[in-house]
Amino acid sequence: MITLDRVTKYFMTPLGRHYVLKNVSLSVPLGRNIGVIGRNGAGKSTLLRLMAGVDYPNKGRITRVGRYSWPLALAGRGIQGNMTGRENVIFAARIHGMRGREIDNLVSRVEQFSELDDFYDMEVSTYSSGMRARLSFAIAMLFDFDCYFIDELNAVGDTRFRRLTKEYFAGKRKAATFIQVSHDLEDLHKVCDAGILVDAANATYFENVDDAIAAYREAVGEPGEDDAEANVPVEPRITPVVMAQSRQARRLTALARKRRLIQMRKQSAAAAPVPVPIAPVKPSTPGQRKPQRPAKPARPVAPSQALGTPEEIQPDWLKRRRQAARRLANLQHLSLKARDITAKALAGAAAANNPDAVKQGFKRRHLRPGLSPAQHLALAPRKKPNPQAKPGPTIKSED
Amino acid sequence: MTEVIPASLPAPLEAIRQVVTGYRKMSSVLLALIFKEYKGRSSRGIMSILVSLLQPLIRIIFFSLLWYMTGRTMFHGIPQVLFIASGVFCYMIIFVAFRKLPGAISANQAVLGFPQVKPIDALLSRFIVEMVLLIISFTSFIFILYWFFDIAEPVREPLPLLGITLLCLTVSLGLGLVVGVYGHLYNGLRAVLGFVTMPIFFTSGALHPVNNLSTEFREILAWNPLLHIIEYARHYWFGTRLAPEIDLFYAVMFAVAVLGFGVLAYFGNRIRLVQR
Repeated sequence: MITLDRVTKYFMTPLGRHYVLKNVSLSVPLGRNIGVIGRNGAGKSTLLRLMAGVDYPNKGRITRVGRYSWPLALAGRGIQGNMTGRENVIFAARIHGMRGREIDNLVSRVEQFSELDDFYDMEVSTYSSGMRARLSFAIAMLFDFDCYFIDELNAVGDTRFRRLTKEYFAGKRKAATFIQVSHDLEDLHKVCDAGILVDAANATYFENVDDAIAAYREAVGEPGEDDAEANVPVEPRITPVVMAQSRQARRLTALARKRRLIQMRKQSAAAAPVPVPIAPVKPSTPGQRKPQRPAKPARPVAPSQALGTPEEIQPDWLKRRRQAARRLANLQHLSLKARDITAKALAGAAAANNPDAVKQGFKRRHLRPGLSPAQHLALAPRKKPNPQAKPGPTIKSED
Repeated sequence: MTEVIPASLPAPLEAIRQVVTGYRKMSSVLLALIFKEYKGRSSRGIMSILVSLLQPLIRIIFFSLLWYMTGRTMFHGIPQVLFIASGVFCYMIIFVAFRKLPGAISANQAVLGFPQVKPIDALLSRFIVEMVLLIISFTSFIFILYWFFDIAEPVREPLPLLGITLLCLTVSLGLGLVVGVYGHLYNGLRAVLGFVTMPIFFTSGALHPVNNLSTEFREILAWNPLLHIIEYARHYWFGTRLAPEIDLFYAVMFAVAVLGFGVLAYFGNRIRLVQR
């Protein structure tokens, strides 16, 4: 009896955990020939390896009673490439606790059974896949196990070897249990009593292999032999892969969702009415007062402007900032204007040979808004002329 | 976990039976794997085995010749060849496993198809083979020195020296498990190991007497646990004086910690190790 108690097995992939078996509880009785079926990648071989004790489950417990073979597979697993066939047999015998004569007997029996001839004493790395499988099969068949695990081994070897394996299987089936993975449903139907269907991270035991085959056909959408609508093409059912998302996968999903949201927003924005473009507001220049135009008739308000003009809806801090900027611009403008007037007045005073005016210079405080340089000159303070004084000096500089 | 449950027995008997069965099974597997390792080496020719035996000696001979060229033939009244050989032997015990075990699991990947063979068996069998080769190599070297060159020193305290050798083996096994597991899982680690071993070798005191160094320098070197092991090995073999910085307790604690870490590393990754 092989019992799987809440067994979970997964493999780590770049997208997270890929569950082959998830929380599977199963009892496989010995004394029956069992076929394991399922689609490619469903986890048949993994289940076989777990039951054979070659692999560990990530969670759960597997209990076994009896002597079990290793999984006999096409790749000849268990066979070491840098040893000869003979040495591999000795190795397998030692692992199973054989000593001395027992090993010699086994070596000669395997030599006869495998029919490898000269290759028996050559390195296994020189073997073909069929020869490897033949050696592996010969070693396994010459041990007495309570249960044999066969992983698609029937597809290998020549006709003679296949016939030989079938004969051996037939002889062994009377005393031992065979748990066999195969895609050949016909063959399973002939040789097996019970079945295990591995699908969607679950394994189900069927007392009758035909039930397992029918369930498998239903799962893959393949029409059965007894199906009346066999000619009608059946749409394949897609089984969702059970996969726990890793952190990276979650992040990628979130990113994709965000992009989709942005795209949707763009689409909805494109569908909405186009807002009327608003002309940029020029800062008003001081001193330049535009003549007031007659008020225009009110225009229809665009949806985007329904709340008010940009100036109306601008916050207080922005208003204050703009006012300050405007004041600064005014001051700069005034300053430039004053400098201009002063320069002109000085030039006029020099031209009129008015040394007092030149000496005293024009200060900003003398400036009067709205007066021309000539008027300023006229207003400029003059000293009373001194008759004893020499004629005024010529203007050198402002200093 | 996979577990074989036989016909029911009383609990204490069942426990004893399981221990005995487990021991028999593991010893059979280890013997078979050791046989396989030997076959693997012998299939590459006798030169492969000779190189395995000579490799540790080359290092001893090279550094001994260097000292000889500087005019030093004795350290503290001990022939310098033996002095260096004792240090290099301790170092090699620890670091041969460090160097050889990372490839042990991948080399035995095919035989992991047998339910009896576990990755720990592959690691242990290679460890045993390497240690046996090293011990054969070293004892042959000591014998050659004695027989042909009349260079020999009696062992002052054999049992403590055996204890120190076991301590070396413990450190070696612990480090071997760690690098064996992670070296198999992460191939890039193997390239880094070469950089790690070199400074440890030169600061281990294997090539020079530590007592001649200044106190400050000794205090720095005392961080290296290998220094303590080597100094104690020389102390029990030749009767050399121990520097005050040398502490056996530190070396023992290091060995226990490394072995614990190695076992944890294996136990934590045993599922990943059998997956292909």
